[in-house]
Amino acid sequence: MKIRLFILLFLLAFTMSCKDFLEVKPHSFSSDANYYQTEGQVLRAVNGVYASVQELFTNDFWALTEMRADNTNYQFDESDRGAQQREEIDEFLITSTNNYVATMWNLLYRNIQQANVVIGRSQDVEFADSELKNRYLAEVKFLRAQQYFYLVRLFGSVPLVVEEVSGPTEAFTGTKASVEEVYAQIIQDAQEAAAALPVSYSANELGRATKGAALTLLGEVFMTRKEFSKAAATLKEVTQLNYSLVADYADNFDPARKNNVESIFAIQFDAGLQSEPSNFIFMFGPRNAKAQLTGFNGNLGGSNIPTPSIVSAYQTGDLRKEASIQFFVDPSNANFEESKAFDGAIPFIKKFYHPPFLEDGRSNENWPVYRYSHVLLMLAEALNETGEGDPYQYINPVRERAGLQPLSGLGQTALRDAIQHELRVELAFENHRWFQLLRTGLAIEVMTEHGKQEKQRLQRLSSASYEISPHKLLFPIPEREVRLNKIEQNPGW
Amino acid sequence: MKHFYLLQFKRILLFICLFSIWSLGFSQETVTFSGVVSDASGPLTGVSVLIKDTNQGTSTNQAGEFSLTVPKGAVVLFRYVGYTPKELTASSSTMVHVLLEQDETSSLDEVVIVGYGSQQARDVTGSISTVKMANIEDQALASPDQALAGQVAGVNVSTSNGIPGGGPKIQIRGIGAIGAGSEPLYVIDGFPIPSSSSEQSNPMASINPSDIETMTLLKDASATAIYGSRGANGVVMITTKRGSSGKPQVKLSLSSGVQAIPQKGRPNLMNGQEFAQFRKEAIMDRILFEEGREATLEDIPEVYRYPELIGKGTNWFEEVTRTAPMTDLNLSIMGGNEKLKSYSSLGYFNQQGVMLNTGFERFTIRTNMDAELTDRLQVGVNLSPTYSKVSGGVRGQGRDEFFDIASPIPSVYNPDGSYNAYIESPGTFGNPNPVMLLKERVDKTSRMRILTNAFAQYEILDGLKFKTSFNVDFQDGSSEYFRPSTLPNQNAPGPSVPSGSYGRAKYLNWLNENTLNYDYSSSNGHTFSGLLGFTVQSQRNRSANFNGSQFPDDDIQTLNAAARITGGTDISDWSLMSYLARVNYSYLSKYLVTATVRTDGSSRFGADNRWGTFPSLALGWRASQEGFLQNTEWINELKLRASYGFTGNFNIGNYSYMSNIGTRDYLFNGTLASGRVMNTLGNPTLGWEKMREFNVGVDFAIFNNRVNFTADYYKRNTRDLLLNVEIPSSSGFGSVTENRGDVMNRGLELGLTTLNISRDEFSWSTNLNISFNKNKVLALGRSSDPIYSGQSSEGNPTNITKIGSPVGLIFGYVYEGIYQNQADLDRYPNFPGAIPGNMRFKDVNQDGEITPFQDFDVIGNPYPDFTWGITNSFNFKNFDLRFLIVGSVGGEKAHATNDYTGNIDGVFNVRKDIANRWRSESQPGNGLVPTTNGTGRGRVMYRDIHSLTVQKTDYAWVKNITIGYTVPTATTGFIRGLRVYGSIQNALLITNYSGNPESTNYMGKGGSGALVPGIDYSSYPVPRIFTLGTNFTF
Repeated sequence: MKIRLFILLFLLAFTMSCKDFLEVKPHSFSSDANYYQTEGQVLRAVNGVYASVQELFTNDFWALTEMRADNTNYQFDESDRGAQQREEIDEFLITSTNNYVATMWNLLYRNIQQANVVIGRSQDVEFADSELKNRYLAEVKFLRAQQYFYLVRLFGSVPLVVEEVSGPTEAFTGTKASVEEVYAQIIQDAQEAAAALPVSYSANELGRATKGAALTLLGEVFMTRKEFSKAAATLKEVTQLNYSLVADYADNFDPARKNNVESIFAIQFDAGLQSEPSNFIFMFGPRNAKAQLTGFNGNLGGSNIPTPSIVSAYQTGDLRKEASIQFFVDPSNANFEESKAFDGAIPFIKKFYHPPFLEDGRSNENWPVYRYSHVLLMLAEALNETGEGDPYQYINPVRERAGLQPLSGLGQTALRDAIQHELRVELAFENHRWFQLLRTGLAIEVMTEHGKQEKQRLQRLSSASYEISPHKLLFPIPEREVRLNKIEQNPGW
Repeated sequence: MKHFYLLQFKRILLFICLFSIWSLGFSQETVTFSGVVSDASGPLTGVSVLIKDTNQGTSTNQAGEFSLTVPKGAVVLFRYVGYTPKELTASSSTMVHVLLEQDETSSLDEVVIVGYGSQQARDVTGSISTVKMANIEDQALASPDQALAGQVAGVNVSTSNGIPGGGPKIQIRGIGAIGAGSEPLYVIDGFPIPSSSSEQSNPMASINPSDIETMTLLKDASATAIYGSRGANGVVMITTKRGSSGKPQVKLSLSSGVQAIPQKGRPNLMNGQEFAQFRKEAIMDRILFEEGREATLEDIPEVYRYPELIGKGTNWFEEVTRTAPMTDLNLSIMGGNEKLKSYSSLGYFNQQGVMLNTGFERFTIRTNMDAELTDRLQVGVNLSPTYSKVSGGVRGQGRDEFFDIASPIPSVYNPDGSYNAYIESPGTFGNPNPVMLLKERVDKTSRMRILTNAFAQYEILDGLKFKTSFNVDFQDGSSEYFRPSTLPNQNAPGPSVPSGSYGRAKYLNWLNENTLNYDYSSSNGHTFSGLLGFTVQSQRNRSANFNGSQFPDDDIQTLNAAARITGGTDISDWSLMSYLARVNYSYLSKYLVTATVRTDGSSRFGADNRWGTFPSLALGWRASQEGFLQNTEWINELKLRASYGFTGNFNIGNYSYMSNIGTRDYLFNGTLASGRVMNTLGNPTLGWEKMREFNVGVDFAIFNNRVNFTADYYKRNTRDLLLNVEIPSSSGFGSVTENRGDVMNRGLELGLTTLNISRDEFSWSTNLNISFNKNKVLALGRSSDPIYSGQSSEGNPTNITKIGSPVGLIFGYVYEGIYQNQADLDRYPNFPGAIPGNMRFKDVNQDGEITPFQDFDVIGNPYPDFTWGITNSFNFKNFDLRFLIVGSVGGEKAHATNDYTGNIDGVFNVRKDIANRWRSESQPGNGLVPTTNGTGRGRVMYRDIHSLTVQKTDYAWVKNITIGYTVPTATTGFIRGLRVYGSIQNALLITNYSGNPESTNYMGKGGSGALVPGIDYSSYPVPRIFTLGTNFTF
């Protein structure tokens, strides 16, 4: 009897329900199996894509797009050689294992995956207002187009992933899409975005992608592809959208005047929100200037330091120089070779310097991606190239705001040069210069000459630096990607 | 220091008081019969001493002593497993010396602990080794895992560091796991605990080694398969002491020691004068190279102008280290009768660290009781709370803790005695003063751990037992950190903004086990025992971590003073449900069969792959029992064993199979907008890492059991490795956890125990073990591409894993020389900007240019050909001497501290040999160090990983020497046993390696784990420990 009882008890234990016992749910995060189900979850996923894109700008994206070009270099600090590989970007000495290039590649594709997730997963989510769903999709498509537009210009032919990678097997594309295919996708995304995005948002939604942002991106795509008629038509649409130039150029960068009438698309930052500060001056300030410029101990980054080339590029009387560049004067500058060219001062980007700073490492500026003046200058350029319409009506307001005389009566070549100069100084330090040099075909010529000047003034530069062979107009695809995905490296790397 | 000893004294007093209260319950009777029991080789511990035909009695202590109150004229029986029993008559209160003789079957009658039970040694069919606790007693050990060093073949114990409260790295039978944890499973009194050894903050340090009765290692699949999905890395079974019947026995052991860092293995950096000379020359060389002129005195910063005036400067390593005391106190009381037995102990352990402001302190209590309520019903409880404190948070890393990189020229203190807070010389990094950093930074953790279990066993029928147990492991730890404003940051002189943090981590793990056991022996030689079981185990972890910044000042260091607090809390769970069964069968004690199976279901794996079954089978043949050998007198035992089985490894994160949706917020118009992103790529098919092992072994005992030899050969394949597989970043993710790959380990383990000399007053015994292991990758990832792992300071991989090779070979540039002149540069491949004097590395891919890491090649094999351990024990009269030596032959390591001690930018202090660098073709130095001139890349290549950083790690390490003296009890009055001893731990290290040959990359710098072996980023120094101790038995 007793035996039976025990065996019964024992068997009872065996048959205890195990299903629930082994179903353990995570507490501190959601799993993909139960997310992307409601409108609110889709909205938060859309915001997550913006937040992902935001990280490009607090990272080293400027190193590939601005410091690579002739506007900036870096302050060489003998006692801190940690960022050697970033300096190699400036000097055209990188290899395919460059960490900074790899990080940008990773971030751009990470952002694309987030966008792909939202686009794919929100398909089946029921929205009360289908317009809203379309808007969300359009916002994400704009951001995806922006990422691919960066990728295709930096790396050329790249893998084209437009659907969520949902398992390990799908992670391998094995091939790259052609530059044409990538542009086709960008144009499609930008056009769909432009069609569905609103012209503006209510005050508490400022910072989201607008129709103007999508059109400007599309316009820049056409400019890059030298499809000037299409560019002109697209950019003209932007001029119909109630944008205008702010009176004071410096207001474009002023944290107190964020998202103003000139701002078409800006990456949002706020020093007052825990996870949302920008960090620009802390990267771009002279190394030895931290105490004086920010009030905190230590060193600033010493990166993205304006070169003599950009400092001397401003015409006399150009108000933008004062608003864009500041000179740091201090006896300790003598330790830095860069100060020789500026009578002992070290220049730094003023656009992103707005003291005081309440906390170390946290600044308050937005990052301007597209400003209306950029649209006007591109439009002027497009019209000058096509010869259809009056380019001066678009370039002159930009010049006049800068305190310069309007232009008129120039020949096509002279006007082209004038517009290129205007684009350079108007958009200096806003991550456009390298792309500008690339699309105008001036990169090799300008950078070779720039390299000569740099080597002349900076003795530390090796003779191997600034050798601008054509293959260096594209960055190498990171070694890891080539190895794992078995795709072709860009020629020459 | 005085204060310290006073404190110790107070604690001892407290102990004695507590103990006195405790022992009040026991009282005395009539005649006292006492003495020492020994065999030919020395005193015997644990001999049962009983009044004949009763259950009253005691057992001998560690010194072999006993004392028993008996009725006058009673016959006293001495019994000890493996020895012939002896009887004596107690006629008066006398001291006797009892000599027991080994009987022929000897160790074979020993009971060996196995999973879910125990077995006679003679019936064991798997590869199981018992650690002789006698071999390790009296060592200064903080945790039981440290005791495994050199004891058992196939168990690799790396004393990678001397962090107080840290532990060794333990690996059984080679690289079993790559992506998942590779530490063995610890089972304490039948309870598989959720934590394993860890090098920096060791959970095993909460177990008091002196409470341990035996430790048994289960190595092959036949022995470990009963632990199923957790058995793949081997199992360490720990059995704690329990009460015995007889007169209460009280033991008190006190030891204290001094720890000092040996000269060998210290960083060999430049002193003040040498560093100034180096900087001066480098500046002169640069001016000559860049400006084409000879430097003048004005070009040289003032400090460096006259190096000879500087002298030795500051040796930061010496400044941040010290000799430190160590104390270990233990008090135990055990006793009971046949029906009720109990054991209780109190322990206090205090080890101050040899680096400033580090230390570990532990208070332990253990109490257990076993009761036989009826003939058929037994119950028992065991409770062991531990409180431990760790201070310091110092990892011994010379770069992060600045003592290897700080300029040796400035002094530690200003003339007024205050700290020289910011250490810099022209051109160097400015670093916080390392002494000040260690002393002023607050970093404390404390942990309360309660390990408890209770069981009841009922014998339903003769031979059929049902046992149920309930076990709980609860831990609650907290940590606090504060960095005051007085401490500057790197390259930021002056006061810093204070910051602090507070963390809390708790877990509760519970286990319920239910087993049915059936034993049956037939009269014609069939013996059968069966086990059937069902267990459920579950754990919940809760943690909270908060960081505070922007403290207004240093006065209030708790987070309420911080202007900004960030952080969060986390909860995670796992659960495991298992069915297990085992059958042992033997016929005539000659033919042995063991079969086990366990089925585990784990919450950690994807729903598609949640359950795994792990069977094993083992066969044994005791040839010595066969007729043809039974008459061969010199052979006592000859047993052949073979086993085959499967086990698993579940040591991956709790939710690895899920895709993780995390938070990444944005803002619109200055208002926070919640954002969510997909952080990881999920893998719903994620499952067990499966290990399959074949083992053959032989046990051989000859010459009256004076020579015992054991050999095991194994071949184990770990398949479906839990591998963090790299995937192209274009997928949006960097890696995903997958079951991929196959790694094979093959090895041979030899163990030899001999009683070399056995005379009345002198004996000598030896225990030698040697392990050979080779691992080879058979399959990997999704393709045959190698896996690159680790990350050098310059962002390149440091290890490569290729199919057909061992896991994680050391990978780097191959040194070929130095470009002496332009002709060399023209002749050999180089890199953009190369100049004469740069390192000349091999152009491995032969593309004419040296590029990282396309021109990397295999430069070292981190795996030794074999490792060995030997313990020699000598007894002469009342003296005993024991020493343990461990060693390794054939391994290599990259001494990766070269990434800073070889940084010739001039920003850090450097190794002395940098003085012999290339300066010009006519001053080529030793040909191993390049010029300081030229582009950064040349200098970067030198501090990156290359073949010059790889060294052989062959070593022999005298881990312990103990000399003891057992005071004859006649001279000691009321004390029944007294032994005094002295020991030296880590006494002598013989090696050509420039660091600690057992170092591991426990800091995880540049990646950790099985894929990054043999990379030495330096470690907290392992001190030599001199200990004096006394054991009393009352």
